[in-house]
Amino acid sequence: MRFTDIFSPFLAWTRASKKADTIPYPYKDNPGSDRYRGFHKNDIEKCIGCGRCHDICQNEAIDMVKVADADPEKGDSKLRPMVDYGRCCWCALCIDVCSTGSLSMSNTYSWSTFNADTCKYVPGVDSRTWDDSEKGYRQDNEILGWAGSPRVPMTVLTPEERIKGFEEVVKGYSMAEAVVEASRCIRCGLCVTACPTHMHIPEYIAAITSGDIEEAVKLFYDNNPLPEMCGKVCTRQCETVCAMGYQGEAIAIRWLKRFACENFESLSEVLGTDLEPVASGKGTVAVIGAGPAGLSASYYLARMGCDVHVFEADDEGGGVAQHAIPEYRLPASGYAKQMEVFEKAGVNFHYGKPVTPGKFRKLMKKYDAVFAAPGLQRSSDLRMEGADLPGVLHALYFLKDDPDKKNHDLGDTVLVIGGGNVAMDTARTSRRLGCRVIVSYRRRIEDMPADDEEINEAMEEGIDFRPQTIPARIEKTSTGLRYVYFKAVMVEDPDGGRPKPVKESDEEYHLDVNTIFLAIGQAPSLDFLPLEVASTLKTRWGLIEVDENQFTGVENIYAGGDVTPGAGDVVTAVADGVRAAKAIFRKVNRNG
Amino acid sequence: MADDLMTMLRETVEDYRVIRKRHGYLHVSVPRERVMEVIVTAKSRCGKNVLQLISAVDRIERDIFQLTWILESTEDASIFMVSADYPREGCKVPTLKDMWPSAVFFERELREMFGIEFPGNPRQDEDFLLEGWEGIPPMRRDFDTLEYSMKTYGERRKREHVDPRRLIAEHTGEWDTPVPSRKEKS
Amino acid sequence: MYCNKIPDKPVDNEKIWKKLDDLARANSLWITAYGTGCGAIELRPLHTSRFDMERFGIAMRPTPRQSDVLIISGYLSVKTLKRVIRVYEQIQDPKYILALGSCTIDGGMYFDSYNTINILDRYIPVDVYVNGCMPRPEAVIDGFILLMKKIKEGKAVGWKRYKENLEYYRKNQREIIRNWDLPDYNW
Repeated sequence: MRFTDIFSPFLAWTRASKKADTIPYPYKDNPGSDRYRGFHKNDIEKCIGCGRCHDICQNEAIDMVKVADADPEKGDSKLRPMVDYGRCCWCALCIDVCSTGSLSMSNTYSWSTFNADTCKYVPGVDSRTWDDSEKGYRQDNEILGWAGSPRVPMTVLTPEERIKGFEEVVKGYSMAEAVVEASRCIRCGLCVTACPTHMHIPEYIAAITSGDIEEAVKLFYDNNPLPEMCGKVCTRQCETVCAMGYQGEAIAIRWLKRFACENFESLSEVLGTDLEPVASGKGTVAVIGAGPAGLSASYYLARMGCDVHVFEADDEGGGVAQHAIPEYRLPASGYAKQMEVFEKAGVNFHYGKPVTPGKFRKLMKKYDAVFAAPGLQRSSDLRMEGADLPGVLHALYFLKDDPDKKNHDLGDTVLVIGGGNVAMDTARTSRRLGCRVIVSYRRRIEDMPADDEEINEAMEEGIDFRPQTIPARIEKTSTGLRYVYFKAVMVEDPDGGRPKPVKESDEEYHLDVNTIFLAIGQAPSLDFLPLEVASTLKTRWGLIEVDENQFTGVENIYAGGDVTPGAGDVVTAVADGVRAAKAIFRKVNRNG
Repeated sequence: MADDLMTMLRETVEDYRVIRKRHGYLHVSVPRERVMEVIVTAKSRCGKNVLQLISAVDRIERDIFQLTWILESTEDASIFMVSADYPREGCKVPTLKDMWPSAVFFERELREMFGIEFPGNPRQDEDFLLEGWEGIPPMRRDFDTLEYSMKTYGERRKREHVDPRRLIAEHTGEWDTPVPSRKEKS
Repeated sequence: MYCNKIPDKPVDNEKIWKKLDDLARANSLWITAYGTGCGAIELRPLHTSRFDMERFGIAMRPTPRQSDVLIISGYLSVKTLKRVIRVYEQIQDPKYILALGSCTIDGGMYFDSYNTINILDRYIPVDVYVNGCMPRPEAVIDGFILLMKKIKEGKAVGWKRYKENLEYYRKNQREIIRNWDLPDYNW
């Protein structure tokens, strides 16, 4: 021991002048770090209630609870995660996998309570003091990458190969590709609400993941008897709302359906060889039109035991979807395979039998119920000077007339007026026939009702788009036709509708072409209805109005498909058919 | 070092299988009749003088318990692991209490968690971690721990989870399709 | 040595100085130094100079006889629960329990374990829960402040609840502690 050690107890006093190490909490706040994993927050507007946070939670801390009625069109189940802090371990897996990135954490970490039952809340719905916290853990895709893999690319023909002929553009997935793509699905089921016919999408994707294609096909036939057609030309409302599409790419649901439809041995083996009725239904039903709506109604009615007769003006079924959609999108080769199932199910087809008012009266007498699904027969006329000149054709009739097989003389340059899918089909078909093609549309390209995919592919194929052009007249020239038009500017609708095209000036522009196709819409033809029925039906814009059961309001008459107001695509028509089949079955069997 | 062991193994047992070998680390699998012999020789001849752990894995698919004795040498900290398979039902394993007194505790734990008997261990029937446990030992894989926990300890929260898919069914009312194409399994 | 007489039901004797009592109690909470789970590690920075809980009159005591608060710091296995009951019953009235973390509320990440309890409230009366897994020392301080507030208001009556409903707690305890060898009560 040294002498100076006497002073060592007093050395502690030197600390008195120094700053204390103690953190003076709670007198001074000590916030968590910028990426601290504190209590949960949820951006309630962004959340879609897919339940991925619930699925990943290892502690079963997250329940999806209902906060409002579901919003199927937006793909929002209106379920929101409720976090239970009696289970949570702040691992933040729920935040990492959140499909929209709405769930995050604040950097607040302190919450004491007397009552343990209150230690749970729905972030974003139940307000908490940390709702506005700027800091805290959140999904950071730049650092971690989003917890979703990219879509398996689909093999498609190059634009140069495409315009050489009518070969199908999309090549389809291989087994390995399909399984990888299907395994991206998180089985949230939001797509089921968005699909008009509510197909069992998560279930059939699960079946494809496990390689069980036949099970997938069986699931298709639960609520869609035309899966192959839908697998190729569906408008994919399911993919629009896909939870994986918010930060990555949506699951290729349509391509998976197409893959399953192309890769099984025999439909009758898959569905059971006999396809005998599953219910002992009675009654006879007449179906007018063998398009998607008529076919789906007839299939389910036949399976439920009704005696179904389908009357079709054409020589084949499938409707405008099968016959007007060009070969490169929907090849005719798949037609026979799909129709087999209807005949096996016991649907009686009467082809080449157009329904007239007299015939309709007979049908009403003879059958317990009539389902009218005639589709849109007429192509709309353009009321314009020169619209009746030779060389001005209707696109719909041209497409129906097998343009890939018959030799149509269109000349060098073709102009298509319109911006819908029919316009795109006509333009691309004409391009395949070797013409130079121009598409004229009144509004902007982004306003076109055609699928984006169609528009993009058309552009790749070298089709010249002239948006914002208002047709003025068509003149005959020595070499062909002259299309005269005005340029348009878009004016916002004061009533909140979509912007309207308005003439920019009276200056006229013109294009010299050989053929002009009108693809400005289709109209129904209700000529087949007898006067006493037509006068009692409720119609709007020439379309038949129906209730949620496809009932027209006139005794025993149901309608569906394009002849009723709706989206006007294949899957909507199928859904109409399914709904009508259920309603007709209930009606007929209650009376009989 | 490892060569010592390999020589020893070749001399003692013929049908051993090397699972993994690294510098200062050797893991072998031997038939269960020879395992005590290997451990005794490893201690006496190869200087593996510490019993680190006796572990068991319930390989229910093959209906066996895989027991592993982990031995260590204090000289060079090298590790020697010996594994052997025992049948799950009526599993009886010789005790190592005379070579390492600490083995008593490992064996008591295995007895409690897996129901593996160590005849000759005087304290094997004493409680270790679970006091008064009855029924299937908890670390066996046929023991449903979640079910047991819910039954015994309960849970505070009444779950109110709504599956998004079920909600859609309620909303659309069209979940049940008119014609199930699949024949119901009866 | 202990007395195993069942305690009398507590009687509310509204003394004039009750408020003063509560004030004094709230400002000298002494903890039994007993850690049951992973949360015990959060108490180290709390009672050392980093957070220095002696600022609030909170101190660690080596025996239950000298302390007021028992911290259940995380998951509680059945084997530990038996010891916790003994410790808790030995603490002099009034006594408080501070429960830390998810595990004490509803099992936390050990909700499916064969040997940890899920709902602490069934076995001993809890006064304050602190959320977290584990709660940081700051959160524990907040828990103590809440407990102090509750004591000052005279609402921290878990110990009374325990005595009044002793049969209920005993029944729950006996249900899961299979080799029950505790005395009827241990003072």
